[in-house]
Amino acid sequence: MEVDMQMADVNTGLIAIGAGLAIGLSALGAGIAEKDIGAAAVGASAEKEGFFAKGLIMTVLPETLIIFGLVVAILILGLAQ
Amino acid sequence: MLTPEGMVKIRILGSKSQMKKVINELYGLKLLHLTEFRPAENFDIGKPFKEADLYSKHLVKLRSMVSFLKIGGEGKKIPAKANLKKLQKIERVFEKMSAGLEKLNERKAKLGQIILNPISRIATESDKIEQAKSLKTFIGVAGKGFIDELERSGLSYDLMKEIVGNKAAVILTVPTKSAKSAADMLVKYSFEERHLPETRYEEAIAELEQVDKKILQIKAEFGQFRKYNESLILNMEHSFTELIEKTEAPLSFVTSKRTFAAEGWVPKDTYEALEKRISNAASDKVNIEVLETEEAPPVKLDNPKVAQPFEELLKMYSYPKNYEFDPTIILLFTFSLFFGFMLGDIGYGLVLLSLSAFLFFKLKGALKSIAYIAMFSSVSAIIFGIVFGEFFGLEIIRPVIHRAEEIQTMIIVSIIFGLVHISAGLILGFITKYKEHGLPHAIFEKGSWLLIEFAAAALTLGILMKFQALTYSGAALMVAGILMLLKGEGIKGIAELPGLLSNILSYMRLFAIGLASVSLAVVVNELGVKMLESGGIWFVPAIFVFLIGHTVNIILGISGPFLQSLRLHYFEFFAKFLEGGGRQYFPFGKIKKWR
Repeated sequence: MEVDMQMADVNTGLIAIGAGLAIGLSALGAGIAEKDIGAAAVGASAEKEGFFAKGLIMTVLPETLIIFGLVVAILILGLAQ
Repeated sequence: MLTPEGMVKIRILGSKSQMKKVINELYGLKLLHLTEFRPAENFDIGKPFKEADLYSKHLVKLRSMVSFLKIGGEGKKIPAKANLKKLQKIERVFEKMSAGLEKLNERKAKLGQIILNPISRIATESDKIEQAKSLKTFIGVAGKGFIDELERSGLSYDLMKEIVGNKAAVILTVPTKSAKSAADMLVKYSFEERHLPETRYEEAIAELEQVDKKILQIKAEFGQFRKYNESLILNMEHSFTELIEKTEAPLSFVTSKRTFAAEGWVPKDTYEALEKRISNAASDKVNIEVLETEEAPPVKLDNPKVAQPFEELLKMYSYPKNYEFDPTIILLFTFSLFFGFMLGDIGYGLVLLSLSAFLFFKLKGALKSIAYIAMFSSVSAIIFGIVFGEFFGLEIIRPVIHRAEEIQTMIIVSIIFGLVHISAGLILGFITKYKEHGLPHAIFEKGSWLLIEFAAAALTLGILMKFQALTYSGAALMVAGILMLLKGEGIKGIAELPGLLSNILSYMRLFAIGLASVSLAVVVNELGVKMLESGGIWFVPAIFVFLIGHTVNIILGISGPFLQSLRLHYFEFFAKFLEGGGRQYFPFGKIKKWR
């Protein structure tokens, strides 16, 4: 992807920053949420091996946040065109 | 297929003389899920047959052999009784060898202690240490500096010493009157008291070598023992497990002086065959009747062979109750559909297909099922790879949908998947509620959600297409749906309303995960191709970039879609109709795993 320097004005830059923030912050949020769940899930599966699969699923639950972030990022990028 | 198999509860009542025959027949049939029988008047809980003690004694020994020798696999069947003599002999040999090994290991530990005790370098128990009232002896380890300080102190003493590293092993004898000052000095150099060892250091080392040799020898003997007796031990373990199950079966029966009774569940369509077989076996001295009961029967999933491995995914969630839907057959299609849609690459699909096919023939049990599911899903990934025209991220054929560019289309397709999936879940929920509590409940609790979903679609379309009639009717339906929900689930339902939107939006992961996967593949390819174009020595790192990049992407591309597809089913789909918590059908005669 070649970036056309003449096209990239300040507005486009701001839009790009917005998109980056949307996905970055939502990923951060998901990470914070998954940290606690993951720790608890590992603890639980140490107690009872059968819990591993369930724990894994629960750990990826907050990943929805990133999906929403991504969608918002795509919508924001749509403004640039 | 979509619901668990129907069950009937039966009671077997018979003459006690026939109990053994009935048990044998039931065990062979593997159909009856025994339930605990509450003792009534004149009836007591049955007692195990008297052989149970003997069998369990042998079984414990057999299992310890299996664990210790790490024997695996299945052997040919050998009847247990015929070999009881041989078994006793094997047990004796094994016990003798185990005792020998244990003794050697104990000795080894002891010798290790002696070697680690620095005192062993200067004296042993057999050396006479002078004992007198007027003398005080210190035996132990102190810092090296202690010896210099002792010399400088001017005390009268007798010292045996050996420097080991920066510590000194000392045996210090001082007159009682200067014992206190000597003790203070020792404490300063962090003195630790030690015992006099049994043997000297050099002897201990030599003996340890001997012991190690003997341990190796006995381990080789164990190897021989294992080679000769492996299949026999396995068979006997198997047979004794069976015998014990049979001899202990009366524990879930009730018995009176002359009769016995047992209760349990059998699949409806096997009942007649079971009745015939049991009656025949007991020469018609039993009575079998079907009981009318409100109890929840155990759940036996009933799926065609192609779908059975997918039951494993359902079990991870929960067993359905007997009146609930068993979504295994739906999982077969939707799970692999979602997985393939997310991975969507011919190359990655082929890698996963060969890997999972290999594992499918290697593995056993639940993991084998997972490999089967992966095989199924990888085929779907290959099909979607053709749709998206991707091979390791490269565009090798003209794609039907170019998923990195046609984001709008991909989002819409994902949302449509979501709408269909969630609606299907709600419809299944509607039927479940109808079966459980009747039509009004079903309409207010699940129908309302369906109506709201439909209304939202109408509303959106109406606004988008500027078609006012559709907009207004959509809004009216929405209000009606919300009122119905309020009646059905109360204020809690209203609070969950936004959840429906986030549930549907959640399906956008279908395209998002795929986008991430294809982007990573493209990055790897571009980097590698650039290196290749530079020519010469860049050829080598380019290979590494391709190899590592795609390996990482395959791992992410398998685990991500697998977990996310599963999650969509568990939280968005199952939650609409499946409560779970059913009891698994476990017929008498099916062997429980003990390790």
